[in-house]
Amino acid sequence: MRGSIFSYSASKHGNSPDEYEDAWCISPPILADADEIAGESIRVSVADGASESPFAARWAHMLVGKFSAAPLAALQNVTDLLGVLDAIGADWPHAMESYAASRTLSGRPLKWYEERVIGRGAFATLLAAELTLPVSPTSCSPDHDEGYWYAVSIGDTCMFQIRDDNLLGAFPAIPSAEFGNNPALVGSNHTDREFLPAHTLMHSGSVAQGDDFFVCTDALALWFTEQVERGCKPWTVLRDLQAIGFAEWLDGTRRAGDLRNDDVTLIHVDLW
Amino acid sequence: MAYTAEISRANPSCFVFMVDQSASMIDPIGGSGLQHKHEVVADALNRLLMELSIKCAKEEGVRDYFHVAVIGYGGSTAGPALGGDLRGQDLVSIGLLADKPLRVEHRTKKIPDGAGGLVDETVSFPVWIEPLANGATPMCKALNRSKDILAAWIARYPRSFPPIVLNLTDGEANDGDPLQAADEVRRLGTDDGAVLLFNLHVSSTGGASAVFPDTAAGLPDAYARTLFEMSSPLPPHMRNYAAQQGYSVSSETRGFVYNSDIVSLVQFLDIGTRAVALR
Repeated sequence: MRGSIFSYSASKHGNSPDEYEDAWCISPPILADADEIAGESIRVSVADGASESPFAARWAHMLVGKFSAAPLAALQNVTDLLGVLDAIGADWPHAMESYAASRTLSGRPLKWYEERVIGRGAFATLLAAELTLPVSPTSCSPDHDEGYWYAVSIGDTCMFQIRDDNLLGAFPAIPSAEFGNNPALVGSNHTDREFLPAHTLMHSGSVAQGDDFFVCTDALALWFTEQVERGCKPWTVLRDLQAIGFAEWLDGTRRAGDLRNDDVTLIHVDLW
Repeated sequence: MAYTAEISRANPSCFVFMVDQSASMIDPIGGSGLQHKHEVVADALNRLLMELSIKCAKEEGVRDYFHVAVIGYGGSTAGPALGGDLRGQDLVSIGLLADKPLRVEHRTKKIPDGAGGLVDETVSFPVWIEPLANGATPMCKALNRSKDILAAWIARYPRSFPPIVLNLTDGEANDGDPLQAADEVRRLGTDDGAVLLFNLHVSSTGGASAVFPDTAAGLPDAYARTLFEMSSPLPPHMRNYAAQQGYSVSSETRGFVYNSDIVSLVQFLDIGTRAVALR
C-alpha cells in the first residue's frame, strides 16, 4: 500500500502569512508534498487557534507538536487524552514566562493588553488522527490486511473519508447549520475537569486502498459539508488542487462568497 | 441578512462613544450614595475601551478591527474627548487607542486561589477618560456630531458592519429633543444595516436597575423612558449573545441599560472564533 500526503494552508484574506493561527503536524514528517508515505502509519494533527485568543497560534503549535508524539492511547480513551493535555498545560506557563522574558530582554516588554490576557490562557480546536495503512498481499503473505484509523476531536476541525468516490464518513459529523463562532476549544489553563470530556469525540474506522482522507479546519470543513448537503462531491476539487492551484482556487471560492474568510488548513492523505 | 458583515481590518466597523460631562453628572448615582455619575461613566467607558482593545489584541499589537470616536459633551460644546497624544482627534483606530492611554494604572483585584479562597492579583488598568462634570447637557449637539462623523465614515466603508453609537449619560438633555437627533443617527446605515444607537443611563433617581429591557414600563422617570425610546433594538445575533449571558430577551429588546453594567456589550461583537474556556 502506497500513499501520499499534501498539505495546504493560507491565512485569512487581508492578513499576512505570519498571522496564520492554525497549526498542523504530520508524523513522521514528509519532506515534500506528494512524497510517498514512509512507514506503516501516519499521525495527522491539526489545531485552529481561536481568533479572540492573543496567544492562540503558539498554543495551536504546541498542541499539534505534542500530539504528533503522543501515545496512540490518547486518541482512544479520555483518561490518556487528559494525561497528555495535563502535561501540555503544565508546559504552557513556562512557555509564556520564557516568551515574556524574551520580550523584556529584547527591549519590547509585554504591552498592558498582553499582560491582561496572558493569564486567561489560549484556546484552539484540535483534531488528531492516526492512520495505519493496509498491507498489500504478497506471495509470502497472501492475505489482505485492512488498515484502521483512530481519531480524537475537540471542536470543528473535521476529517472526511472518501471511498469509491463516496463520502464514507465525516468526523466529527457537523451539519452546516451548526458551524459557528463557538466551537468547543482546548484551553491552556486547567479549569473544569468534567467539561472537556463532555466535548471530546473519539472514533475509529477502517483504511483501504484507494481511500482519501481530508482534514480541514472549520471554514473549509463548512464548505465541504455544504457541498455534500447539495449533492456535490467536493473531494473531486480537493483531489486536484495540485493541478488547479490552491491559492487560485481559494481566492476564487472566497470571492464567490462560498467560503468564509478565515485561516484555512487542509491535509489530504491519498492512498493509492 | 443584516448585521452579518465580517469585521476585519479590511472591513472594519466603528464605535462612537458619547460621554455626558455636564454639571449634573457630579451627583451621586441612585441608591449608592457613594459613586458619582461622572466617575461611573468614566469607569464604564475606560472598561469598554479596555475590553474592546483586548478583544482585538494579538501578540505585540491590537488589530484595527474598529475605528473609535469618543465625544464628550458638557457646557456648550460637544467634541473629541480623548486626551494625551490623541487629543483633538475625532476617530482613531483601536490599535492606536490601545497604545495611547493617558496612563496605565495597576489595580488589585481578588481572584480564586484554587483552594476555595481568594488572593490579591495586580492587574493593569488603562485610563483614557477622566471624570468630568461641567455646565449644560448638549446631547443633541453630541448626536449631531456623531451623525457627521458617521456619515463620513460610512461613505468610506459602505459595506461594513454598521457603526455602534453608545451614549453614556444621566439623560438630562437641555438643548432640544434628543429623540429627533437620535432618529437621524439611526437613519444612517451601511449595506449591512442601520447604525445602532445604545444608551447607558446612570441616574440619581434610583429604582430597579434594567439591562436590555424590552419595554419602558417600570423605568423610573421620563429621562429613562426617553433614552429607552432612543435606543435601537438589539439585532438577532446580539439578542442571542445576551440570552447566553442570562438576560431575558425578546424581539423588542433594546440596547439600553439603566444603572447597571454595559461592558458585556463588547461580547456581542463577532470578530472570529470566541475564546471560551473548556478546561
